[in-house]
Amino acid sequence: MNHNEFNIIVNGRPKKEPGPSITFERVVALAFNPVPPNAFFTVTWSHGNQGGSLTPGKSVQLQNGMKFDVTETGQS
Amino acid sequence: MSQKLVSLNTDLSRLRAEGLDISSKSKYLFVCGVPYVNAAKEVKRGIIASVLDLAGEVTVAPTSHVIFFVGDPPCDEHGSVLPGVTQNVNQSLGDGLAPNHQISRKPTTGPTAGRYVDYYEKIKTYIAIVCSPAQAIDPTVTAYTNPVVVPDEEDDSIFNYLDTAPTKAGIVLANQKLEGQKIAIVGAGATGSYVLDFVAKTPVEEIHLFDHDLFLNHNAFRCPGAPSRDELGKKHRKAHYLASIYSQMRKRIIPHDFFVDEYTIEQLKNMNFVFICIDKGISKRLIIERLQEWSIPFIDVGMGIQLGENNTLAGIVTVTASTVDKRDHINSRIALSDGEAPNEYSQNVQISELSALNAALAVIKWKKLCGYFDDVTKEHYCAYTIRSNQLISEDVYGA
Repeated sequence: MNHNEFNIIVNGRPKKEPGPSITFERVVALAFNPVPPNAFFTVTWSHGNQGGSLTPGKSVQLQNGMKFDVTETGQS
Repeated sequence: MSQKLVSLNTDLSRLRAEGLDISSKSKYLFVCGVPYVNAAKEVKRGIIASVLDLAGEVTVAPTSHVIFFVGDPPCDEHGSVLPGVTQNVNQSLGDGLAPNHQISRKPTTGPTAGRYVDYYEKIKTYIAIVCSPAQAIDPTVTAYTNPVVVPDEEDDSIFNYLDTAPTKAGIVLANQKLEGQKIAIVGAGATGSYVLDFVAKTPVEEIHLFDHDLFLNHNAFRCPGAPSRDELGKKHRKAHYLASIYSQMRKRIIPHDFFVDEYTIEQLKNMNFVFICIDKGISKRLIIERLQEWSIPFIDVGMGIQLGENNTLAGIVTVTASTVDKRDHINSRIALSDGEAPNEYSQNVQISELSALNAALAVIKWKKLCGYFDDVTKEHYCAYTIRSNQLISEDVYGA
């Protein structure tokens, strides 16, 4: 493995990413291929006790073992 | 008997909380359904009456140690009249409360010998005196009948019966912060029906429920409660079905069996708070724009569940709050348009415990905005991720 790559988990599936950070759009693309048009996504991440969300255009510094969740959140 | 009188007085609230059927009328305190034995050694039920001494709305130590008993003269299990009973005094207690007898017993030892310290001690003592012979004959009888407690006119209660759980004064004050509000729940689907379940049990003034859909099989698996097959067969509109159930408990649940759109949006104009529990982005856009224009705070709930590896489910539950002070996060947090193409990923999976969680998080946030719950984080966006069991709080304002 390239020493610059990060092992992350997106929707339960292992992925490798170059880093050093990852955007909302990239996380969505890792989760959904192809990305459905006009869908509204919610992205959350967790790493140990840290966690947060991403919105369009935003990014987060990668750490090995980071977990991302991506869903459409329109249902009620 | 007004709930206020009961809550203001520990002796009365303890008697009620223990399950005695207490009431009051024209300066008397009554206990109904008290088992006793008559001269024929039959177990019957009578009424204990005591003068109720009040200083304003607060009970004072009973000035009289005697009570009156409505029924046959109370006897021991052998049919002999109990000591201390004076028969047929026929005190004027009110219509139908005759014949009655006086019973005179008082504590003879202890620091307060000769008198009762409060109505709890007085009533408990006489209950024991009168009921013990009845229980000697039939051990299953009890004066603690736990009657349904209904509000009286003085209570002006929003509920059809009262919450008799003992309440500390501070909790009463916290509850008052929710009173008088008009709440709208737009969408009576899975999450909306749980929001109704929680809000119905608060003392808000009105609850308006908006939904055009029918209540069908799949809804029964996503709502609180368990409707019968017959009930389901009636194909009620959700708004009417839920309003009828919760109206058994409280007043002023108003069903509106239509969707909120440009023709009906004005219905939200007089609300104090709105829960948006619908999935259609187009409708949401209109509702959100108008609520912001009218400076009405609201919460939008969202849920996305997907099938993952090995037939497991995972996803995220979101709660987004908008207030006059904090609403610049709305566009990045709430879907305001509908996907045009059919979305192959959209599973529309909904699971009742997640809907309940979504609703609970939304109602907790509303109560924080009302000052009912303490709030130090002051987040306006909250997301629970199932897979990592993580709750995040963002879009903080005012912390």
